[in-house]
Amino acid sequence: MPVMDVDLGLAEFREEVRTWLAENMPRTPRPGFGAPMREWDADWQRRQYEGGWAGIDWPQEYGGRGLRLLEQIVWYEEYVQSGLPIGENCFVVALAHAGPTLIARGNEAQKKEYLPRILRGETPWCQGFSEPGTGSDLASLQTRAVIDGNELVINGQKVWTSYANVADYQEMLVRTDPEAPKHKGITWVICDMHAPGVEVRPIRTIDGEAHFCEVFYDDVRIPLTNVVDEINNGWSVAMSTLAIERGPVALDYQLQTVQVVEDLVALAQDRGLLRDDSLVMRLALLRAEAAALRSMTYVGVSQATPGQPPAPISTAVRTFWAELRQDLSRLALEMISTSGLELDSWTTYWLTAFSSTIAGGTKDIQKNIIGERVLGLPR
Amino acid sequence: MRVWLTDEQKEIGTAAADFLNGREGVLGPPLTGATEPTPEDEARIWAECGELGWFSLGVPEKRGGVGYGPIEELVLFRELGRHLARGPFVSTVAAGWIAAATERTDLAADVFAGRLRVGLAVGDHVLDAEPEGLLVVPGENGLQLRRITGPLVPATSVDATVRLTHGVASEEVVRVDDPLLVSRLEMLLAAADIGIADATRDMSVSYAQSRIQFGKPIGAFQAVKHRCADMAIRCYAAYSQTLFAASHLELRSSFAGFHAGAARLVASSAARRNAADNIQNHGAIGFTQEHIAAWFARRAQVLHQCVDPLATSRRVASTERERYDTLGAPVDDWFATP
Repeated sequence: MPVMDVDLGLAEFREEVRTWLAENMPRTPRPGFGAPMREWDADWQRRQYEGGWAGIDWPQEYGGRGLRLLEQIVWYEEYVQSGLPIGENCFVVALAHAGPTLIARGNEAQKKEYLPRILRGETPWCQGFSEPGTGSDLASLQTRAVIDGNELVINGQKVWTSYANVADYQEMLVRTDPEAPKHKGITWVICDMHAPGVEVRPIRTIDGEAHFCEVFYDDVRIPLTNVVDEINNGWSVAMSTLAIERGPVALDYQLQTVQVVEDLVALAQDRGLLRDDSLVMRLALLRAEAAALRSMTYVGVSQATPGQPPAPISTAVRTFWAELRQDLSRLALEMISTSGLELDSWTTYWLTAFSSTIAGGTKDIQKNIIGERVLGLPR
Repeated sequence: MRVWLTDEQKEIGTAAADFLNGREGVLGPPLTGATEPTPEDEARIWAECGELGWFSLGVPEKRGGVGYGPIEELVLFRELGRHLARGPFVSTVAAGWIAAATERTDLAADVFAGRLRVGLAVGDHVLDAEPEGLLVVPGENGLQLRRITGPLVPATSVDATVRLTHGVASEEVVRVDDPLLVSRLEMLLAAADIGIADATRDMSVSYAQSRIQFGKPIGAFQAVKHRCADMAIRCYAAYSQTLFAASHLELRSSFAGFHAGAARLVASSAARRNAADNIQNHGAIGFTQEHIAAWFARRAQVLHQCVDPLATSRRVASTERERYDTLGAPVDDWFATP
């Protein structure tokens, strides 16, 4: 079994990251939804690239540093520690899903074409998987693509697409063979969001912000060279993306949750709530669970085989995190009492935490996966 | 530092399981048909455990121990928890640490050889004490070893395999002021809790695969399947955190106290909740005395009280945080060689 062990030199690496972040992190507030936000994110991504911090565990030939996942984790830890909002970035899909999928399944031309531009902060991506009739049952998707000459012609609709309004590309699943069994007729394709026939409409989320969009496709023509892997083999490509999504790259969100526990501890101290024994016990358990979250990630990473999808049990980390985040948000509301009448950072946290057991696969689906693939229970 | 087990460490667990599997009558819960072990049975098996090195596993060789550390202790205590082993294992091992740390060679030799069964003080109660025997008393900053001087007043134990007495007079024999020993005791309890969480998960999964209702195994129903998934998630969280804590203890890192306390809270919660879910998954049979399910719940309740959970919670909630390090990895020694 491959193992993570002694790593002298990481302390030095961490110090280097810390120093660079302290000197280079953005000083201006990030603008809201739209073009100024994209510009802000792109500028910050470019600065990371120029500093040598983009794609730390991506191969060097595509602009990465060629280091290990461990160094990437150290980067994330210091990034969160410096107070930067990690998931709120329109490059998140490109860096966390699309890029790693292309590295795993793309051809040489695709890797050369798309990967360096992601790292340089030139091209944000979005994800086109869910559809109005396709949530947990992803393989039932209906958006149709027909081969016409050397192009695919796409018609249909995607939904819950974060950053579709600013993205240049979309990692997209389309139905290329409606006759085949549902998992066998899907293709993974790179959609140009500026192609004629693509229409994007923002959707406001629970906290009033416009975090994601609907996307409509009306005879959108995409060259066949944008197909990743083979026609009708998209389900297997998508599964590698989802494995990545539920695996170590979810670390950034987890680390942020660890940070929120700390804020909650500080809040309890400020308000003199630590005199209440029952609150102390609940808070301590949440802080302990946040520590366990991090330990689970390290245990998972130390046992992972490079280049292979994470073990099925790693989905446990995601579910554990999602429920912890909601437990935290509920305790926060109890602690702030009547200040919770105002829409502030804690009530916003509570509202947005509802997404954690839905996005990227509901907790119900995650528990089916654990029950069936980890424990061997019948379907 | 590492967060995985070597083959040699896994072998310690396998060997312990083999030993325990053959000795349910003396070391296991009193299920139907089992006879209560006699004091002679108990003395004999305690000596056998001593021969296996269980009471000195984490004590350095130069102090007469086997020479392993906290991670190997974790592996052993997980098996003891999984098998609901009877007897004061936690406090006897802790007595061995105290004797070794204070260089009480004769005392250490008796503990290591399994000639002494050392009880544990829990508030006003005492677990598994012997008349005029020894007692481990955990404090805020260290462990005390005391000798019982008064009569043992029996109480009815929630777990009949743990002997309960209260109000015992005692005098100090020796003490070690080292908070990390208390943390190590917490880690042992967490390890036993993991064993309970794992065992009840496995029992539930096995039952959910074989019990047929409405024409299919009950594990096909999401209500049961998801409960089993929750049990597995708790096991993974508790194991990861306890292993993390044991690794910190091995390094004597300054964050070991926090991580051991966190491990104890997460593991105790996992053991108690899994034991309860396991009873539910078994339906009415789980509610009977002859079924082992209830014994896991009883033992988890005893383990939960062994070191004051409120004191642990206070410590975990109030640990000062300096940068990222305190809560998580000690940045600079996390990856360093011990």
